[in-house]
Amino acid sequence: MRKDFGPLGEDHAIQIHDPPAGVGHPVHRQPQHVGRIPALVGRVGVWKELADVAEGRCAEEGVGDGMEEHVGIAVADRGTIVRDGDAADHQRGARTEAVGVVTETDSKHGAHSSGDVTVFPYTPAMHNTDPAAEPTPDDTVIHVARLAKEYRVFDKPEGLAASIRGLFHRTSRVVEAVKGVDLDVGRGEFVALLGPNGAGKTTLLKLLSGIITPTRGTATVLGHVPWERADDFRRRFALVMGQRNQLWWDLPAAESFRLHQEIYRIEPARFEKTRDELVDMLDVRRLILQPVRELSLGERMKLELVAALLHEPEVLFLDEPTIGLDVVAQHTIHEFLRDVQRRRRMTVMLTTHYMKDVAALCERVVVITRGDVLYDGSLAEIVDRFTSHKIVTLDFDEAPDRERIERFGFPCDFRGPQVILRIDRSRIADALPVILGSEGVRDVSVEDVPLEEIVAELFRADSRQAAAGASS
Amino acid sequence: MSDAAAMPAKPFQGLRTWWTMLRICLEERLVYRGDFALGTLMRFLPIVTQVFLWTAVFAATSRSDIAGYSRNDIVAYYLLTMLTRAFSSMPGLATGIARSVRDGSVKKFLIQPVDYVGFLLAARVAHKLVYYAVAAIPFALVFFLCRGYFPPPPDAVTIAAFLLSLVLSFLLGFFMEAALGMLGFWFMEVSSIVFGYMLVQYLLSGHMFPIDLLRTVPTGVAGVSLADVVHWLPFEYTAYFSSAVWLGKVQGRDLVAALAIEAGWVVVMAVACRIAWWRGTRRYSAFGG
Repeated sequence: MRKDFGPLGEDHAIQIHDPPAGVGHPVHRQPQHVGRIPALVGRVGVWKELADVAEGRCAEEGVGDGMEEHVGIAVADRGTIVRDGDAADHQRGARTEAVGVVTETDSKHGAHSSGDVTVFPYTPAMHNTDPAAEPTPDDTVIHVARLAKEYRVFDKPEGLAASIRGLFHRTSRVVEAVKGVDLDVGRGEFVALLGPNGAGKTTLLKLLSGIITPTRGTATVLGHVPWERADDFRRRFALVMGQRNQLWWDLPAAESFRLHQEIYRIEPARFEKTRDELVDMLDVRRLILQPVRELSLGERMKLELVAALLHEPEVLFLDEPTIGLDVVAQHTIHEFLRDVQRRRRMTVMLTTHYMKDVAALCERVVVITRGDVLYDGSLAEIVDRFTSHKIVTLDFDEAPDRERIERFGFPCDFRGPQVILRIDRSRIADALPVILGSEGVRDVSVEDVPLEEIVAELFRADSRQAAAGASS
Repeated sequence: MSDAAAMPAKPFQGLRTWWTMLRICLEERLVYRGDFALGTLMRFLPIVTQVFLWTAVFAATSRSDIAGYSRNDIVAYYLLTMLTRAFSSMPGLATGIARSVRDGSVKKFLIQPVDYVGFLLAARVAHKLVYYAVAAIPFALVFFLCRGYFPPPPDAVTIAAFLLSLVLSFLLGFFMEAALGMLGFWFMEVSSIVFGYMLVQYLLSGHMFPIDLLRTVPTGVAGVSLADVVHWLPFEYTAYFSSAVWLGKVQGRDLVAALAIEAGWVVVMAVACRIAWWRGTRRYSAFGG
């Protein structure tokens, strides 16, 4: 569907800046054209349509306080945005001079509202959706191609006699922790790596932070091969492992921060500014002068994050940052990470087992099982693609007659006056009025299947498939 | 972003970083200062048995000196050896490195732009400085009580050579043990290797007896005693050598040559340590991590 843009008015200046977070390959490039396109007029459509234009790369993200930020694409022609574009527009390259990314900041005005417009000169490469095409180093921060890591593990047989034999002859086998992963992450993306234990998530993070070398394949992070461990690279990223500390156990965190200032060569004024900012965001100022060993797990984690962010890394790897933390601490850390990531346009990759982390932070989800990428896409899409039904919760005045409910023909779960139904998404529109018409319904809620369940199902399906593959 | 944040490398940047590491390690060590005070005094206890042993040896023989050492010399020797060991011994260094490999805390040094060996050196200097600060009083007390055993102090040049040998013995001890600890990249458990090293070290460093006693032990090669062989090995420079310098056993050209051998071993061990770190981390990256 196409819409024509109405007049936007002269007061909306075009701002030329980096594309907003979440908008990455393949549509966007760093703006090379800096200047004002006169009399720009435009209107933004709803994001879902525009997302289609951007090959599903457009994202909708909440910014708190009930405000929503919409990101869309508009096509400008000879200095005028003529409409929100689609692939056909891009293909008429001769008529298209620029592509604008419109950030709609006020959702109350719906499709008619306006906001900052970022304009990129149009190039045919912008709609190059061939995944094999080399991305430019400008906006691809992490580039992984057919990356694989094998470990040789030695079997430790049981029993003394076997152990003695093992001294002379050890049996080993090769474990493929990561097998041929392809992945591109653009600047400013917040990516979640999900997968069951032993899927290869942490191995992938270790590869990308240069702790281990791969068996096959290549990767670059910020243009560097991580495992070459160049200082120039190491000054530009950080890795935080949930259960490992970089802070000195017996000293106040402030001392560890000082050490980071030196080893990362942070200018003193800038160091103090950054430190105070981070410390205040997490409300831990009073803790930095206390020996780290006296702090709680949550407090330590917050200070670990401050330490990791002092040198303003462009890429941050987080390995289970919220493991073992209470809900309040988790929430604080979510808010903090989201805030810092936005402000700095930092690229973040995180592994976690908590779907709350994912829902709160990540637009993009990469599911890894058995060393392979099973799914790579938006969080919204994962729900779309992997669930066939919705959860309908009905509250009755009193426990309803089971048979009456079962007659609807949906799997149901009775919990006193509450009944939980799983209804096929294609049938929900027809089924709901009928169900609501039944006697004594006091309240109803319709929800998507919880993310935990979807992901668990994804993992299970994959391991079933693996078992089937192994037995055939 | 961080391009702007990172300062260009200034002259002495490495030194400044090192100084900050040293300062922070010092603070950390001071947390445990209480440990040292008692431990230091306890260390003098084995000497008492040595003194008794040698008293018995001298009583059983009619000779007034053994391998050039009088009874008093022997006591002075052991006390000086204690002092040298305070420089060259590196408690927990090798096992600490191996542990950091085993438990993965060594990863930090792969991720951060900081040199592990340099960091360990700073930590060890801090460790020693705090130790000297605490141990100075018990040491001074013991040396004062035993002043009668010492010959008159040597000339300024010998004292300078003695101090230089102490500094070199610190570096030698550090790099030897650090290189040993790096074996942790290849073996899960280095404590038995460290134990073997300690045993050889104890025998050949002069910690157990002055190396001069080995002058009469033949090696099978005509005119070459075991002491001559040990002289070319690194061990005696971590205990015997400094004491022998103070007591005037090594002088003139021999002194210069011995200092050169010691310095040579420091370089060899420092290089070995680097190579072990470099190869070790490569192995670590390839196999585990």
